[in-house]
Amino acid sequence: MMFLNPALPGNRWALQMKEKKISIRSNKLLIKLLRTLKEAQAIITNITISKMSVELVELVNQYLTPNVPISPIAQGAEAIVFTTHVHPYLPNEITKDIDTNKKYIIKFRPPKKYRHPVIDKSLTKHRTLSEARILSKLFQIEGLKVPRLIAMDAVNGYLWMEFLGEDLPNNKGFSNLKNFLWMYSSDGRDPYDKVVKETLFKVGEQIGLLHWNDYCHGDLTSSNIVLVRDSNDIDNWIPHLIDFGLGSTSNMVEDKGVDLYVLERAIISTHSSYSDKYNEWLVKGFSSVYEKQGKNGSKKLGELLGRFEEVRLRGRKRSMLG
Amino acid sequence: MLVSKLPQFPDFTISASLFSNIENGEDLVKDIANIPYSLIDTTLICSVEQIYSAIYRVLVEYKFNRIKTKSINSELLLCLSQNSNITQNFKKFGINANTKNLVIVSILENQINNDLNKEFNALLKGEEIELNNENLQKICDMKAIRKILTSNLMMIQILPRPLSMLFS
Ligand SMILES: Nc1ncnc2c1ncn2[C@@H]1O[C@H](COP(=O)(O)OP(=O)(O)OP(=O)(O)O)[C@@H](O)[C@H]1O
Ligand SMILES: [Mg+2]
Repeated sequence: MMFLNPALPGNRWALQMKEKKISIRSNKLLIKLLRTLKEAQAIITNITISKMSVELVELVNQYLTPNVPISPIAQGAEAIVFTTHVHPYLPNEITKDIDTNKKYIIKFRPPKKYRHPVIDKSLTKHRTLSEARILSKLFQIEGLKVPRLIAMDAVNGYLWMEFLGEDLPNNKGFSNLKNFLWMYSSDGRDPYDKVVKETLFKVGEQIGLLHWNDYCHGDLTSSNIVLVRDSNDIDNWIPHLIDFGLGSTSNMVEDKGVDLYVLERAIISTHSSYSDKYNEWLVKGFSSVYEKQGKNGSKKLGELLGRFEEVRLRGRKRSMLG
Repeated sequence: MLVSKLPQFPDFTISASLFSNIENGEDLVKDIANIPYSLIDTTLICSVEQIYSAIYRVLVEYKFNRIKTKSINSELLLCLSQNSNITQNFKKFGINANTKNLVIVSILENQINNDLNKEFNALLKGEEIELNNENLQKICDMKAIRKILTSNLMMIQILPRPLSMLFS
């Protein structure tokens, strides 16, 4: 029997389920059960993470020394992500003035054993540098919201950046777009709430800004969009784009169309009942950025949305073929 | 004087001070080869982050890679920008005969020097003021910084929030 760490959100769910022996009596419960299955999936991922990464976490701990305590928060295909409360270089006298919420993200691309060490080092360096570069360029675009880069050690594959977002109320998880939409579709809340509409519009605007400036995200899922709550207005969620590991500069409509398609699929797969409206709002926000750019903007928008439709059709064909 | 250690590099002690109204720039330049500290002209420095993120880079290079200049002190001047042209960076961030304001930095490995503050004051004919963003922003040259920012993508990120807003 595997020990389930109750501190992990997925496991907490599973333990609760065990205690309650939930029976399926209504649609509502069915939905709950489906969500629980999703959580169960997450547990399996968690277990694999913990198995795979004991060694890696040890490596990171050695690199960071005990002076930088870390908590792992995610492991993707390429990187492990940690949070820490320790700033990499600023003296305490300084941090206390400029950072009220002292939490930082450390994104580490571990060595890949199946690659030749020399090639691996150079690839890691290249990818870390590339993500840092794109982040710094995007940071300078007016209106575009991305995390601020704090430090980098490209050779060893480390990026430090500011932590964005927060935990949603009532254990609804971290404030990425995915969990945010879950939150509004549960506990009797209105999935078409004004706040949802406004937030999705703003997400669309962010993507519009990104594409208008000829950048592509490359992995635009609803977990790679983090919502930061305005401290003066609790219903104002400011979307930030994260994870530019696959980001690039590109002026090709194809790349942009694929970005839009990936996000649309993400919304459909996790929030299928409401996805039509959600995607409509996203596209509205997206379009608004282009429409502000006059004739040229409208022309580009037309081409882009046309390509988006093509990509969508291709995707449908593929899934019909199985 | 700000004395600190970078968490990841506990063997190194960093001490840094800001001096204004320097009168002996010319002598300092002549003797620069014998001075065991980094001297940074603050014309292009508008935040403490700029200095300390560069120190972080120096220590990363020193520990895991190889430094490209002859000492930790000179490496700091190189690491103040993303540009890897040593001569250019020394010119931009190093002191010259007319330097009026500077940051002096000592990085010591496994060593403690309790007389550093005295040594700094003996070396520099000027007035020590607190090393903080407010003071740096009073004496730096915003116009010149704006110029180098466009060619230095990393730098804007390390400016404190209100300042980086200025540039976006
Ligand atoms: N700046 C940040 N602020 C808050 N959370 C972050 C930040 N950066 C990353 N995260 C968290 O860590 C997770 C993984 O980060 P990221 O997507 O950058 O890594 P990744 O390895 O490329 O992930 P994946 O392969 O799963 O897409 C994110 O989904 C998010 O929850
Ligand atoms: Mg991701």
